[in-house]
Amino acid sequence: AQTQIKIATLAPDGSSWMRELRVAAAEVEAGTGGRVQVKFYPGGVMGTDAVVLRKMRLGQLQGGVLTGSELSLVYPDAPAYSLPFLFSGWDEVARVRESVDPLLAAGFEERGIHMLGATGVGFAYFLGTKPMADAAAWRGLKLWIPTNDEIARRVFEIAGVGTIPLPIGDVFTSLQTGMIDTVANTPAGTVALQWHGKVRHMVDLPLTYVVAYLVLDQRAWERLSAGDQAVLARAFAAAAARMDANARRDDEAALAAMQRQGLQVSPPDPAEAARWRRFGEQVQRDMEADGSLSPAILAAIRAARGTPAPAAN
Amino acid sequence: MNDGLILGLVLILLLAACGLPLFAVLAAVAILGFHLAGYDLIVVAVEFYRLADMPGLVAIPLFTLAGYVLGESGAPRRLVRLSEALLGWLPGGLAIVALVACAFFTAFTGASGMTIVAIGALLYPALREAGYPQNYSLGLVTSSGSLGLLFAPSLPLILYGFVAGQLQTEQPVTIEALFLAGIVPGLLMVAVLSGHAMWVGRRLPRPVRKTGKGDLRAALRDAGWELPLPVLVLGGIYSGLFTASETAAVTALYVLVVTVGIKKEITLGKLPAVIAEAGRMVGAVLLILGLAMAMSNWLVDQEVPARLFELSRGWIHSPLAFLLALNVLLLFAGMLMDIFSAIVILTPLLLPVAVGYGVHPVHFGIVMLANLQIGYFTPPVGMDLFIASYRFGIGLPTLVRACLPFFLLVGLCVLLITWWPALSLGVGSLPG
Amino acid sequence: MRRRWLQGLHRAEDALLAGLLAALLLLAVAQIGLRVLFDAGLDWAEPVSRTGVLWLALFGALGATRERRQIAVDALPRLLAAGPRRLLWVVAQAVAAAVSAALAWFGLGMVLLEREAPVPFVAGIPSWVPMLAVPAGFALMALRFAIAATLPPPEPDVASASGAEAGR
Ligand code: NA
Ligand code: NA
Repeated sequence: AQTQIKIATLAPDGSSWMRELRVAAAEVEAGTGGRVQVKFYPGGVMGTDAVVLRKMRLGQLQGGVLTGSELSLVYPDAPAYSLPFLFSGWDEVARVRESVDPLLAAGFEERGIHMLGATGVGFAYFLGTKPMADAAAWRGLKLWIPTNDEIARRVFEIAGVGTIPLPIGDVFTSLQTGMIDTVANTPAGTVALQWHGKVRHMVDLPLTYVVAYLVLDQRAWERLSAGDQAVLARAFAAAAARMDANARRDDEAALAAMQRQGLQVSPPDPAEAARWRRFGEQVQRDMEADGSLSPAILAAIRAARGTPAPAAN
Repeated sequence: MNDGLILGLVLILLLAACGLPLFAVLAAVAILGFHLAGYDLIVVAVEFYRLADMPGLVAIPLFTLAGYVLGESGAPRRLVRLSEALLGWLPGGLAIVALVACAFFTAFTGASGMTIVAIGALLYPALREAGYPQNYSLGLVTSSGSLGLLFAPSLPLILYGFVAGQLQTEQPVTIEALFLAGIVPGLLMVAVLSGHAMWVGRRLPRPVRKTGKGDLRAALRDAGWELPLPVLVLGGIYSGLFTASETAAVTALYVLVVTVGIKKEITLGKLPAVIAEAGRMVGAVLLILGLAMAMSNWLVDQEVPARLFELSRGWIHSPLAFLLALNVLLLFAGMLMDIFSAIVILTPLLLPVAVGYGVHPVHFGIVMLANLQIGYFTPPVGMDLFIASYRFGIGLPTLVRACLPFFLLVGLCVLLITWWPALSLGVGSLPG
Repeated sequence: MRRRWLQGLHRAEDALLAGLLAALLLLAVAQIGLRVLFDAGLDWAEPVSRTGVLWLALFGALGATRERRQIAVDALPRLLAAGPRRLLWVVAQAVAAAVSAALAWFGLGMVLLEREAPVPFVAGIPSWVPMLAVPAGFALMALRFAIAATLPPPEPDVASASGAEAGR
């Protein structure tokens, strides 16, 4: 009999992500002789992350493409890559992920979730309808943070910036209506989610590396034969690698497109950059100290990166 | 489709015809569908709970509250008095007064039954006394019960926004865009019916006592508190000062302060009963919205709209042909169902198909509402026919004949709105 | 005696319903005030307001059931004589009771599912607590529909012309 794997994602139909995912789905169908059919529900039609996770437990969905903060409720280490200023650049990311991705996959598995792939979305920057030049400009801004994004919540609490937590799917409407005016996202994500029509300013300071996980319900995964599992793993690993490779290029193209439409990109004031870096490092230390992130994962990241932990003040 | 599904759907349709409440009809379809798909039926509850995931949904209860309080106040009377002072001198003036007042009132109450009862009852005797033919007067008050549905902040407009917004079309549907898109089509209907009114009233004697500047001033003073409402609603949103739900809050607060605090037309003792009445209406509408989402999720899960599109592509080749077929379909739907049911059931089915044909989802919404508006007075079972028949003690056959010219005129407007998207989208594409 | 008791119950229910809607309005107004005057906001306001709307939906629908104001496509019953109309009424109300009971059951299942993996709602309250309104609301609605099935149908006049949207 045919097995259906239904996967929900926020990525809009027609995005480069969906193209790669559909290529993988076609490979799976061909590779399993039609035994496994992978279907996607793009554009967030299946609901917010909380709804997608509920539906995975109920068996309506078998999987979802979710960000680290969205998965943090299931697996607290999921957002580890998204600690602010953790990575200095793309090469470092590649080095770290090679050794740490398997650790995260093992962590997911303990919680009944099979990690089929992880894809770097890129580095997030501050984008907004108003300039964010210095600490004074930040007063009165309505900054979006993702619901349940503990890292973002802590950073802006230390920074003394008020935040508005919303599911990512609500951001478009909220930008339209002015409920929020500032976001942090990758340039490609900003364009794909159509937020670019509203934002006019960007600070050229890479804040955090955003990663999305393609996860399946463990029970659904185990229902597949070992051979079919291998086909799925291969197809989606290849898709993730292609998406990773595309991410940097997509981001550059998206940024150029937004600049053509009038986006003002301002270099960060050195004092301002140092200020944000301080907040980020503080949160890293705090979260390690109070056990919000497991020391083993953080140690593995630092070992792969070849740098010590941020020194205490 | 398998036999179990068809059998079940037929049974549910029969129950619906027997008067099974709509929320239960939608729930039954969702339960049947999810059951046949082999899912745990808790997904129906999970889908219903997505009501709590919709940003800005609070606009529905708050605008409804404002509408109910307005309906209980002396606003209808003041509105008629002011329109009379402004427009009474025109040929057909009183009929135009009726049209404008009805449109304004329906925009705020969304419940056309209230318009016929509150304003129609006030104006019907006046129209007869001024010499308008009985049939014209009857047709006017019956058909203009639904006039104004396209104007912000009408509840059907907002409801469509939420149902369509949930479908995540590539061109987004926002409440704000819908509010803008409804303006020109709504004005078109008012203008066409006003032209007709001038024609009918061309030989009628004008009011003997000309309305003087004093009358106008007095009427303006009288209705001074209601006048800022449209400005408040549209201005609040388009200045970017308020979101749609914030505008709803400000509007409800304003209406409460005016009717309870300043005009003292609703006593504090009576207020809870009025608010509770609004709460029941909100409950009835949101309940069907929640279960419509469950049903619509089953449709999405089973890729029904995509299959419907494939199917229709076999014999409908152009967007225009699709829109014409849509007009016919919606006319029937509007006659058989009330507007809320039609919106929550048909939007998830038809909007993806419409988008497949390249129809803009905002334009589609306006076309759909304009069509459903006619359904209110389409024989034999348009709801407003029954209300008017009961309220004015006139037999249905007479009413049906009386409404025919209005049916044709509004129908003409609907065709224009359908085939001329710029009427809806021209204003909406302004930067905002 | 029973009648007085029922009236009291209905009045209390209306007061609660009105209170809930009024509270939603106050919360929204307070949010606007804080935003416009102080560029501030209450971080619990948005989730509480959204959940309040869901509660209002269920509680208002419960009242609409009592007042026979549920939206229904009732063209056929309106054209029938009293006898057949009564029969259809009983069928429709009984099925509505059964569907409501099923929804209450699924709602309970959702609460239990959420208890396995709760997330924070606000102020330390877990996410399954606000969900309780779903099983409770539909269970009470089922009861009301079951009672309505034993009572005569309302007269087909303006009040029932189209459920909730008809004028008074
Ligand atoms: Na009207
Ligand atoms: Na109708």
